[in-house]
Amino acid sequence: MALDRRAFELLFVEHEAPLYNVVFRYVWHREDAAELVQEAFVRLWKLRARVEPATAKALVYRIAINLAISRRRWLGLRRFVGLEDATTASEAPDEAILSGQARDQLRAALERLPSRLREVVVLCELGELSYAEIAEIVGVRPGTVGSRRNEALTRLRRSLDPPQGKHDAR
Amino acid sequence: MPDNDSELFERLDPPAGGLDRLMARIDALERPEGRAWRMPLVAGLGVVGAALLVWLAVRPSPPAPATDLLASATHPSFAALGLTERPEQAVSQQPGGDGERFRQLPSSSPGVVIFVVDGP
Repeated sequence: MALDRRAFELLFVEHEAPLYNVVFRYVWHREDAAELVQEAFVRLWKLRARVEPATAKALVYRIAINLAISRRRWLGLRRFVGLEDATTASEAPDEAILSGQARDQLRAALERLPSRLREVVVLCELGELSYAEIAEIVGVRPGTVGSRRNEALTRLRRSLDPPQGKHDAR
Repeated sequence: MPDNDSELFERLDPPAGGLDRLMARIDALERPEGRAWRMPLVAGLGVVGAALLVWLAVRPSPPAPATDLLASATHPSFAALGLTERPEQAVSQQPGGDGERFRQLPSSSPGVVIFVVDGP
């Protein structure tokens, strides 16, 4: 059974916001994130004849993440060849949203995570998905999702917690 | 460090009107105008296909195999017989033979006499 228009609309209404938040953590730009979410759903619509409604959610998340990763690579390439300055709008986080030192640190910590951990922790924290659904998106077992999430959060805490030694030394 | 892990990730609201924009894009894809770019391609392919069929139908037939094997004395068959030139002269005509004409071919091979029968 293919994905019909009504189911497609419901899927968008239900998952636009979480998917937007996930994609934002890849591109760090509101307009880019919104455009990529739209593009992911358009591509899902084009595939609707071959998509089972039960798998549509996982598929659109996978499409959106792939698009976000491609956008990151493209922006990185543009910076590498000097077409875009590192501080241009496409790269700079939306300061109105992510303001403050703590959020900047969070972004830096997320960027330092390996992609396999960042993907899982972002999906777990922002995707509003079950471990089983995330496992389907990422292509691992649900147990692996849990272990990766724990590892990612541990690394994030370590990155964000100021080392005690520094305070003591002052 | 936030005490709750959920505080690590601030949830953002997407821009308003996302569904309307999306469905407008979907509708544009579904409308014939959305596929307008395909029309010239389809029309062009149709014209090329029709032209190909017409050409196949009216193209001149390949020349039929020469019925007059004597048209050229350089034909390999004649060269193998030792002929050097196309015979032009009828050497005899059989009166009652439906107008058949006989021609003797000049031959460079001694002792060989070749006659060719022309059709009526």
